[in-house]
Amino acid sequence: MYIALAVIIVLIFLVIIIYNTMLSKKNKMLKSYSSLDVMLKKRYDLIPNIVEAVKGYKEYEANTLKQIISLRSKADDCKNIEDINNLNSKYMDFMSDIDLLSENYPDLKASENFMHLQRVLNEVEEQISAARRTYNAHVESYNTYISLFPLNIIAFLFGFRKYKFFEMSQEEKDTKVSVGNFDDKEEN
Amino acid sequence: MEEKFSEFYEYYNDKLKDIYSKFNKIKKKVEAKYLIAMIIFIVLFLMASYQLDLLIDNSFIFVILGVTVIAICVIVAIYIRLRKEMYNLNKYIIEDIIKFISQDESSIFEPNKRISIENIKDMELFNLENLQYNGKNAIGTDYNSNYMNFADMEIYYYKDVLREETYYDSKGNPYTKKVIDKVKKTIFSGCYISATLNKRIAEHIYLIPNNFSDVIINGAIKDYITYSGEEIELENLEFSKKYKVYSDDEIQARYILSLALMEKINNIDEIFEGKKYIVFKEGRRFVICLEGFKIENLRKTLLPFNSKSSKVKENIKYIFRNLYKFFEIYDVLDLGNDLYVDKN
Repeated sequence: MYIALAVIIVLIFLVIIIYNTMLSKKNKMLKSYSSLDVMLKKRYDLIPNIVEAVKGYKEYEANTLKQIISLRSKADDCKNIEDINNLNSKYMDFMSDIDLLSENYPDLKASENFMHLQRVLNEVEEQISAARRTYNAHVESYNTYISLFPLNIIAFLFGFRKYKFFEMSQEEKDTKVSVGNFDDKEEN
Repeated sequence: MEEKFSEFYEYYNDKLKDIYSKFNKIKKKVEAKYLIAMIIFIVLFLMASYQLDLLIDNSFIFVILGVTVIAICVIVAIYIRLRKEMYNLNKYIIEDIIKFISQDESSIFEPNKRISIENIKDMELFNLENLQYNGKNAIGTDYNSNYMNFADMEIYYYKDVLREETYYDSKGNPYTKKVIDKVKKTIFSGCYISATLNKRIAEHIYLIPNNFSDVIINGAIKDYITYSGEEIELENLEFSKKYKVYSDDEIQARYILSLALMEKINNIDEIFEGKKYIVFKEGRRFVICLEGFKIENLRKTLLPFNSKSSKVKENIKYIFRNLYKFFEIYDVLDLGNDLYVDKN
């Protein structure tokens, strides 16, 4: 009787410890997700500046311009990592366009304003990359933990589900960088 | 490096002649001074020998021996003095090499200066409440618009070691007394290098050698090392084998320690094999402490007294190659690029 009671108490304690570990890993992951979100918003905040810097070289159609500027507001509406991935792909299309433009207009590439913007963008992209690596590291740790047997049973009972990694889009992998020469880019 | 050295040696030939002409002037003066001293000593010795009747057949051998000893002593004294002069002239060679590599004419080499206590405190790596530090051979130069400092640095503490000593009283009975000896334990002995970082950060990031605890002989690591933050596991396995990374901000640590930079830090091993402590300081400062490497060893690499000796080029090359390593670190880590922040 006492042995059975002791076993039950030990099991309850084990479940509590496992539950708390899962929760702590999940919270760390969500925290890194919100940091990633902040970094991405910082990136989208720069879009008007980029448009302003290239306006003498490229005339956007009103509709296209609206779509580009709306990337910022769409960033606020991102609910999960899939939304972020979709928006990221659109942003990369826009940046490839800017890249091409800077290649075609050397004076744009050499302008002080554009060069400063390029540095700011490089810094933001590096920060995004760091936030993505952090997020993915936490997702990996959390996903692995809740997949292990018998922890997966407890995870299932308490509704802990697997999270998706923040993938780099194909354009992002192919494009050397946003604007100009950013050779420190890395893949996850 | 070879190409750069050949370029330097060609450019430096005239200056080297100046250094040797300066040295030869000193050499002549020293030799003249010491030879006069030797003659005076020998004359005095001979006079004393004459007074003591030592110049007779049987004792004459002792007089020759005495004169030989005086001559050897004077030759040794001349050699020591000339080495000291060459050691002093070596300062200019090191300074000229630094100026050549960095292309900064205002570069300075101050053998008697050390890294300031503020710089070490600012690093927030070594706990100076329990540790003492010393150093010399401070170098300051501007390389690619980036101000760099190098200096020899030693961080140490004194450990009280208790031992028993046996004494004897007046009756010859033994008794023991406990004696405390202060034994010097070195935590770090090597070179401090500081440069401007090409990224801006808000928190310190520490890279501590994985086997650091080996150097702590007694006491808690925290008594000697003041790094803070959580340990961060990074993706590069080779890098993780070498360093433990601590920071209060994980994203920022990953921002600085990009996959490319971790690879570059691994590559520093090809330049310096020893243990390395790396601190990315709040703001835009980068500090690397290289265990075992000392500028003083380069100062002690003296040129031969004869300017025609093949050792002249060999020794200058040795000094050049080692000083070049400091700048190689800067180049390998690509700290000079302005991809992220304006240089000024």
